[in-house]
Amino acid sequence: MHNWQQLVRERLRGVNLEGAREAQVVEELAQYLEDAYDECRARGASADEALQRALTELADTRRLVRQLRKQEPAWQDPPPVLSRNRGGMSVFTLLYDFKMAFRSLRNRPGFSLMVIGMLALGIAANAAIFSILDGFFLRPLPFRDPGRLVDLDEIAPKWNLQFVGISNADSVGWRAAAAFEGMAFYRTSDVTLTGGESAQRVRAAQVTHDLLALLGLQPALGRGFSPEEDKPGGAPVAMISYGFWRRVYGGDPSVLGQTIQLSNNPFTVIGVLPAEAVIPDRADVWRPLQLDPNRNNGWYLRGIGRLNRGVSIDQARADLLRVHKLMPDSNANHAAATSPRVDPFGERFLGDYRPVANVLISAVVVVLLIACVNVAALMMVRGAARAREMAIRTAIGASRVRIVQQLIAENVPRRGGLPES
Amino acid sequence: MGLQSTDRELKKGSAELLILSLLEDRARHGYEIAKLIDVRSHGALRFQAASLYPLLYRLEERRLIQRRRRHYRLTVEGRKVLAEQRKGWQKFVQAIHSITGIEYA
Repeated sequence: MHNWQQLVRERLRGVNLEGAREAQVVEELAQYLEDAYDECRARGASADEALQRALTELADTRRLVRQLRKQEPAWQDPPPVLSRNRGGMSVFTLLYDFKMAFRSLRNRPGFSLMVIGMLALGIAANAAIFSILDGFFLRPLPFRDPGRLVDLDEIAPKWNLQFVGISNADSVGWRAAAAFEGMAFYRTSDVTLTGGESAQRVRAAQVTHDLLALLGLQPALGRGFSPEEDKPGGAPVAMISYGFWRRVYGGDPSVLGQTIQLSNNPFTVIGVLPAEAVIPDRADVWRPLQLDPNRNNGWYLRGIGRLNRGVSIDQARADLLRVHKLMPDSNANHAAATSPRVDPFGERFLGDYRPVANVLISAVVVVLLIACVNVAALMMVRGAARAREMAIRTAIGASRVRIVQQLIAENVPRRGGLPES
Repeated sequence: MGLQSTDRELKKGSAELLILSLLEDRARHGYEIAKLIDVRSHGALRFQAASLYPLLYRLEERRLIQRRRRHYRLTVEGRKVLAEQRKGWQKFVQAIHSITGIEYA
């Protein structure tokens, strides 16, 4: 067997054909020679004779060479390997580009891994921090008009104490503040839920009957507490949280009217809280506070208020302070010792974290920037190595748009194929 | 004009017509075309690869034939040109006949 392609190339020396075009011509002519040779042999000629016969086919290559030289460098045929398209922006060229991109990725595993790793790190850090920030700051609270909700508490400036809690008397007297559309108070504790299969510790909250309405929520099942039930000596009723209801009662509506035991005291379930009732403290059980305004239990309550429309928080602070000072002292030095404080609702829990969050965001952005710069540097190094390839592509006839399209397509798998972090 | 050069001139003028008409029925590859010319002309016309392929490439450049894989086939444009050239050739032969008395066998 002869190397026909080699022969053809020798005969066509002097013609400067580019890549795909050259391969085509050589292949075609080589096949011709081989067919001629085979036919001669089939007719009974010897190998030498057949070879001579085949060679005469390319005896005078002047015309052929002239014709080939005349041919425009941009060959219209599709590349003999994959795509059948001329290079327009169709889906097929895109798929072709992706195929080539994956191939080149595979051929350079070290480089690809490095780039992917750097980008993954930057993006993962970003995603993690963002999800935290989103949970904390960006997502609105699930209550009606949460911008108007404020956290109420008291401070004891004489002893330099913040968040001492609200007293019974104050919780009643403060309601006179006109700046507020409404107020509600609560305290939380852990109780043991007995009866049923086993005892479990649950978080319980004692709330004033108007808390649910203040938040703008409706019970998921049954009803809320009535003002009668919220008075000292009121009926032992309770509401359970939505999650608790699904977990323990399997979402069975017949839970209404059933009795639960909280620290060995029976309570009748009259309602199920909606899933949005995440305050106070995601308590699983609510009971009416049944506060006695004449009893001094010290300062232990937390409060939530809703500002009237158009009232600023500063106005509310001033108003509440005024009302607080006007209240008769129920025990000695009460008004002198304590002062109300009003904070935007979310701030109470998140205020301390904002500076930390800002630092984290900045750090993460910097990490991502560094990763991008690194990747860009690596790409530049690679780009220099690929200059020759680009020259060949342009010579064959790729337009600039096409080359750019291919480069973009090469990079998309790198980014798009990153694992979920 | 010597005999050889006459032959060459005639060959040149008719070569395109030959190739186009051979591709009229079906797509063929290079060697097949050369073989057919040889056989059908009973050996009177013979094309080497070095002379056939320049013609093929030129025809392809003019979009009269189209290359798919290894086969060449006629394009729509090519069919039109083939019909024209056939008519032209017939007229030419008739003219020669009227002048010289050569019968077209």
